[in-house]
Amino acid sequence: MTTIANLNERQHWHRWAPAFGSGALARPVDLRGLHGSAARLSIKRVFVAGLGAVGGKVFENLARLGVGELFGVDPDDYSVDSLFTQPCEFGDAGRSKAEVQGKRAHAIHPEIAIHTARRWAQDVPLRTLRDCDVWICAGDNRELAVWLGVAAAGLGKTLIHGAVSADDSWTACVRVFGLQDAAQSCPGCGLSAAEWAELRHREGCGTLASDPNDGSSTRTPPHVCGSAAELVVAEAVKLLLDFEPGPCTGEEVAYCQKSHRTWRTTLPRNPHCRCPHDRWTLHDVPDDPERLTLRSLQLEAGIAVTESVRVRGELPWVSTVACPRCDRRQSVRRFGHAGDVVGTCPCGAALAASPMGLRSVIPLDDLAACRDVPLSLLGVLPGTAVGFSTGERWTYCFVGRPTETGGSQ
Amino acid sequence: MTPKETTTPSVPLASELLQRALATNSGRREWREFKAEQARELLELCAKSPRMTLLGLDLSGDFAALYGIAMPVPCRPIGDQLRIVSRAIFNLRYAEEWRWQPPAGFEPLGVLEPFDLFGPNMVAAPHGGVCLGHIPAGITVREIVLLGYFAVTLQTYQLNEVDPQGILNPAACEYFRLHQEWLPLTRAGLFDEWNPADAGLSAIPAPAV
Repeated sequence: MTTIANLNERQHWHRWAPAFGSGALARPVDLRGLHGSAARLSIKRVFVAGLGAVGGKVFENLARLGVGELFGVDPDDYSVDSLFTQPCEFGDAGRSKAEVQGKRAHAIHPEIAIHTARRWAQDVPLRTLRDCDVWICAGDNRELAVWLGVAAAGLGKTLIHGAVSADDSWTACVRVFGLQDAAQSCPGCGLSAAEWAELRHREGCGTLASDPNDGSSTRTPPHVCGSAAELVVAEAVKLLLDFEPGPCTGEEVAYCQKSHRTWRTTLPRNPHCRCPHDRWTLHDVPDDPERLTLRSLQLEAGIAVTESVRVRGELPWVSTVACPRCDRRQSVRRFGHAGDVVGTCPCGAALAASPMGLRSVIPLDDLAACRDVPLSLLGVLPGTAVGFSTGERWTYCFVGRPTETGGSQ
Repeated sequence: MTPKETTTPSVPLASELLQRALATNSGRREWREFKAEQARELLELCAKSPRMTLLGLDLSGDFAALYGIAMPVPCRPIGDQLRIVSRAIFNLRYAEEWRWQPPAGFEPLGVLEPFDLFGPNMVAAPHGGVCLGHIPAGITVREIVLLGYFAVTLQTYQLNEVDPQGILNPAACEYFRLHQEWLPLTRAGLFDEWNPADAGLSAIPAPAV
């Protein structure tokens, strides 16, 4: 296992490369009912958000099926009572779910490439998400599902959401959102006003804060979580292998283990949904960020350089930072996270980005000042994306060449 | 002694600020409409509250507003004596994705002045953040303004460091746990009259300059 320093050094992927080289382990095994599947699955990539009771089992099954490259993220660690519901052992308490499930999947099938990270799905680079054929949401919060829905619509991906019903802990559900089509529903379409109000941010405010999501483990019976995972994997396989009949796109399938009843419900597109449902235009610009500027990137993407262009990156824009020593507010003008050291004050103090100086879209004044500055000086790393918009839709330019593992820096 | 007063820069009329900001309003149609509506609501708040002044408004990317409120603001104590100033300048921002993704409690609102803000749910300069607690997705600017007012006047507060939402200033948390006579600094709402002299601020030592 190797750990590679990532975007701004705070994010680390655990990576397991195929152990014996392609095809060396054994001849490809086509499973019953999946004729010719082994070769086709071996070139697919799947992203799993959440590696808990549902996601952990999804990850395991996808590894057994021999999906060529698996990406999994989960910000949590196992607790002592995780063994009741999750695919882990008593001794895994205190270890990160990402590391345990990655190691486990690698032990099950050493011939596939596995990447896991202890992080929020929202922090995964767009390049990684873009390179995956199917996205699976197995997290236990609606905020994650809504975020994945917006990103899947932008990148034109199918999102499969596996869960246990909130109303009945014996009912496993799967929902398939075909978000390549703006007319399809997204996870936000079905939320009521009360459910929107319940969405909670993943971070607390204080440095002493414990888990903002109260830290309690799921209490759902493991067999129901297992059913949800199996429903998810079935839909993912149908999608990856172009099966007929295909996945239940735009529908929810629910199975109650108590009554053995099954429901199949259409998920309607809500015309008043808050989510954008917009497909982004994507461009690859292989030049190095040192050789590109916002102006040249804009021209490469075929967007006129006008004052009304809005620009954003994968990281927030740090417009200003107040100096902790001299109290002066300094212009910084680069991308970065809150807390990152993004410059030095003339008084010599290090400037750390704070929420008050952050913007999601570059302000017009900053944009005018930075149009001809090399992207590398603006904090754009190779493999990351810069977005432009002149009106309703966004165009994202992926800058530089991807890394050897598919650009998932 | 008089509390520290912040000098008010000469500011264009709020309606003029709004017209200028609307001229550069950009983004998707829904987002532009949302920003324009929020800006008008902010102006209504300013018109309704005798103590609130709009100082700046920008709708070109994120929604960004700068406003001042005459209100009691807790500042770093001298010894054991809390200092209170009578005006705060807030920096409010609202990103488009917050309509469907809830922001963290400290993201929408910061305090530019005073520099030595002191409260359990606030962090002093250079960060100047105010924790507003759990913020739902799609919260309105009006609600953020009111939450900020109540948080800074200590009408709402959180003194439990191990609460999942956390606190921003453990030292201030400890101070206010020992000095609960300051909680709250005023019971006046944003639309009520508030006079620093009536609140006894004149008895409070002036801050070191």
